[in-house]
Formats: sequence, C-alpha cells, structure tokens
Amino acid sequence: MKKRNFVIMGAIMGVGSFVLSYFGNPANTGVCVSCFMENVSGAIGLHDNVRMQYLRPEILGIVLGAFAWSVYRKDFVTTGGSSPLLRFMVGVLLIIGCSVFIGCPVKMVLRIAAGDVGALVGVVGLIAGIYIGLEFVENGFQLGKPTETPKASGYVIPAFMLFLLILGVMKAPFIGFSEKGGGAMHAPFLLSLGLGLLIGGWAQHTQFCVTGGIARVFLWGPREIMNCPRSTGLLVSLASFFVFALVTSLLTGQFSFGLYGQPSSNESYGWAFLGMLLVGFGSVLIRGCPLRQLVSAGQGDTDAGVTVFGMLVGAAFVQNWGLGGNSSGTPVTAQVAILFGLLLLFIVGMVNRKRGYGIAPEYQLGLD
Amino acid sequence: MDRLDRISTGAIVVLAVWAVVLLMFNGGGQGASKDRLPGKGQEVQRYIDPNFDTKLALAKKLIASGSIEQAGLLVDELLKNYAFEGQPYMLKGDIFLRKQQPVQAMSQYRKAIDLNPDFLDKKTTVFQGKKIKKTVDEAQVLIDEALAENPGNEEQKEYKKMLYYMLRKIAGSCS
Repeated sequence: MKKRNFVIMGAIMGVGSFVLSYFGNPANTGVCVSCFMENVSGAIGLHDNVRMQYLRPEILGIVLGAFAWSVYRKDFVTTGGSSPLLRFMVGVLLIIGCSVFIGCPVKMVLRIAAGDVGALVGVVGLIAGIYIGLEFVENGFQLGKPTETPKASGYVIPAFMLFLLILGVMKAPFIGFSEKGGGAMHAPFLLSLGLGLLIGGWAQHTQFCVTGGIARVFLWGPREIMNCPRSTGLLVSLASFFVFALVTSLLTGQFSFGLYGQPSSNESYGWAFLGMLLVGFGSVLIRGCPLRQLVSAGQGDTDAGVTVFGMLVGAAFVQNWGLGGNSSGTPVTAQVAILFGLLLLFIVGMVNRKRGYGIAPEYQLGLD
Repeated sequence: MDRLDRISTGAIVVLAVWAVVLLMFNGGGQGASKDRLPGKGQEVQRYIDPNFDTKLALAKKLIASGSIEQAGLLVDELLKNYAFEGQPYMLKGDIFLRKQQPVQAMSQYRKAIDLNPDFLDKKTTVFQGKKIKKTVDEAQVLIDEALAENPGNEEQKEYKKMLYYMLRKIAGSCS
C-alpha cells in the first residue's frame, strides 16, 4: 500500500476531529471512542446520566464505514472463536482505563495536539502498557486462533449499528438524547456521520491502530520498522494524525498550550498514567485499540464485535459506578477499578501463556 | 514458573494489596451517582416549598439594588435551609463580587457548579458561564499577586488549586 494512504488516514483523523469539535463536539473530543461509548450506552438506557446520552453518529459511522469498505473491497471475512468472553472483559477494562485518563488513545493524541501538556503522561502510560502486553505476547500468550464462522454472525455488529442509526434518525422515544452536558454537545448529525464513515472506511483500508503502531516498534525494532511497509505505514499514520491535528487545532483557535485548565483533564497524573497503561496492556492482548476494535467488528471479526459490546457495558459501569476521572480528580472507586483491571490483565496474561513458546501465529499475522 | 510468571505474581500481589488498602481507608465513597444527577431527589424538596423561588427572586432584587447587607442575610438563610441547591451559592458569590472580593466569589461559584453544573452549560437557562469566567480571571490576578509576595502562603495555594479546578470546569469536558 502506498504511504500516501497512511498520510491520508492521519489527515482524516486529525482534521476531521478538530472540525467536529469546532462545529459542536466537546472540546478536544472530536473523536473519542470511550466518551462516545458512554454517550451511546446512555442513549440506549444502560445508564441514566442525563448529561451523557446521545447516539453518536461517529461511532455508528466508523463501524458502518468499515463494513461498507470491507464489503466493497471483498475484505469482509467473518471470523471468531478466539476467547470471546475474555475479550468482552478486556473491552470493559479498556473503557474504564480510558475514562480514568478521560479519553481513548485517539483523544490522547487530540489533547496533546491541542496543547494539553498533562496528556503526555498518557503517552508514557500507553507505551508502558504496550511494553508489558508485548512481554506476554513474546512469551507465549495466546487467546486462540480465530477461525472462519458463518457469514451471518459477522453482520450482527454492523446491523446493530445500522439499527441504532435508524433509531437515532427517527428519534425513537425510548432513546435518550441529552439536552445538556457533554451529550448535548455535538456537531451536525450528517457531518458527524460522514466523518465516522470516512474514518471507518479508511481505517479498514489502512488498518489504522494507535497501539498497533507503537507496539511494532517494540516488537520488531526500529530497523525492522523501516523495512516493513505495514509497520512504517502505521507510524506514518500516527505522525500524520498528530501533525494534521496540531495544524487544525491552531488554525481553528482550539490550541491552548499549558498544563493547567485544559478541557477534559485533571491533576491525577499518576492515575491517568495507570489508566492508559491499562489501555495499552489490554489493547495488545486483544490486538487493537478501542478504535481498531470498532473497525474490526465492522469487517466481520466477531471477537472484536464481542469486545465492542464489552466496551458498551464498560461505559455503563463507568457511569453507574463512578469509575471515570473528572475535573476534581480520580474517585476512589475508579482507582480501585484500575488496580483490579490491571490485576485481571496480569491473570489473563498468566493463564493464557504457553510456556517456552514464542509469538503465537495469530499475533505474527498482524499485530494491530 | 519463569521470570515473567514471577514478575506477574509479584504485580498481582502488589495490586491486590494496594486495592484493598485503598478500599479500607477510603471506603470508595466518591462515586458519581450522588453528583451525577443534580437534584434528582432534591428538586422535589424545592418544589414543595414555594418560598424558595420567592426568596431567591427577592435576594436577586436586593443585590441588584445594592442592599448587600440585607441580601446577605437572606442568602445565608437560604444557604442554611437549601444547602443542596446551587442558586444560593451563586447569589453568595454575587454578593462577594459586589464587595470586590473575586477570590471569595469564585469559592462560592465553585460550590454552586459542583451542585449544579448547569451554571456552566450554555444549553441551559441558568447558564452564567461568562460571569464565572470573568470572576475566575480576576481571582487569578489577585492569587498570583499574593503568591508572588508570599510564595509559602498555604491559603493562597489552596485558592490556586481551586482556580485550576475552575479553569478546567470552564474549559469543559466530554461528560
């Protein structure tokens, strides 16, 4: 694949995200899988926070865009059977980790591009988590090789998202629509949906993944990276994402350099570090960051589909049990959730290891 | 058991002990459910007392007319009886602002927005974000001046923390 495609991927993410926040999405939250998952789970009644209910067209668009593009390119292959319940649990944990940091890896990049110096602690946490995850992958960790399954199961997640999209367009009475708070802040529907479709389609094409790009540096080393088009591509996408996001935030007046008073931030840097560590660790174990899980679910990966449902449930836990960070810091409940989340990942890592065995084939095929 | 197993076991033990200690000493009481739905159970109490809105309106009139002392007495009474409502704290902040004490005003506004984030939400009818932001900006100047004179002043350091909190709240978030 040409490098140009990876640059375009980053450009879509970077420019698109800040355009969305310029036109109404919360500050530095043009695209954020965890925040938006909390909105979607509230909209379908999984939690009752009246400020966090909106069927975010971006999320629905990402899955549907990936689905449409994969069908068009004949990439749609239904696979599954690689420890779905464990993936569900990791999906729950990913959203908890993101919520403590106040943003997924995509929003982490957006926060930094908008001048939030404090978000850098998330980068360190994410890298540390990826490194720990890779230690397990390199030492025989495996969740089982997915196999091809009947086509119908691959359609479940795209169909579910399409169903939600229809409910959203019809404004079904049982769907929650926030009239205030973060859920009420959104860009025009068609713009959000269009960008979601574009991100989903192009991310399917380029297999964009924030954690995957970083993981490959650790796994294969810088020299290998330069010779592996896929690894180079992922890093080019990440770099392009950051540069385009930075330029767009500057051009649209959304850039505000500093450590204090930033949107979606707090001073719990230690917990933010651990939150992103949890996300990096978990993402490596299930092969992909939260965004990648959405895209994979759209292209027929039913294991990723189960993870997406896990993320929805995790989003509900975050809201119902107060497991996310907020402006005043990280609540004790969230701190305990992070510690138990990490503990669970270590247990998952230990019990799924084949001692004396190297990298499992499913990870060698493509560490997304 | 290889090296990774030993490290993992150690990590699991540390994390488990850490989590248990946190739970034992904090009780996990800072859940979101209390402040997440402002006034869910409390607004009922407000509605059964029609005097609240009347007194609130009177206090606003008193402040507007410059009767700060009288307004202060009324607002103190409201705060005593309706400590769960954000409006009286906003009025208390307004009184401090009238007295040209923006730091104290900011402190009251903080209490108000903690009870009711709608004061910073443009989509609501009670939005007072511009006034709060202006107050915070004024408070910042005073706090910075005080800290420049005496960097060890603990009270001003606390105000500075509050200032950062207010700046984050004004900047907004996804929640």
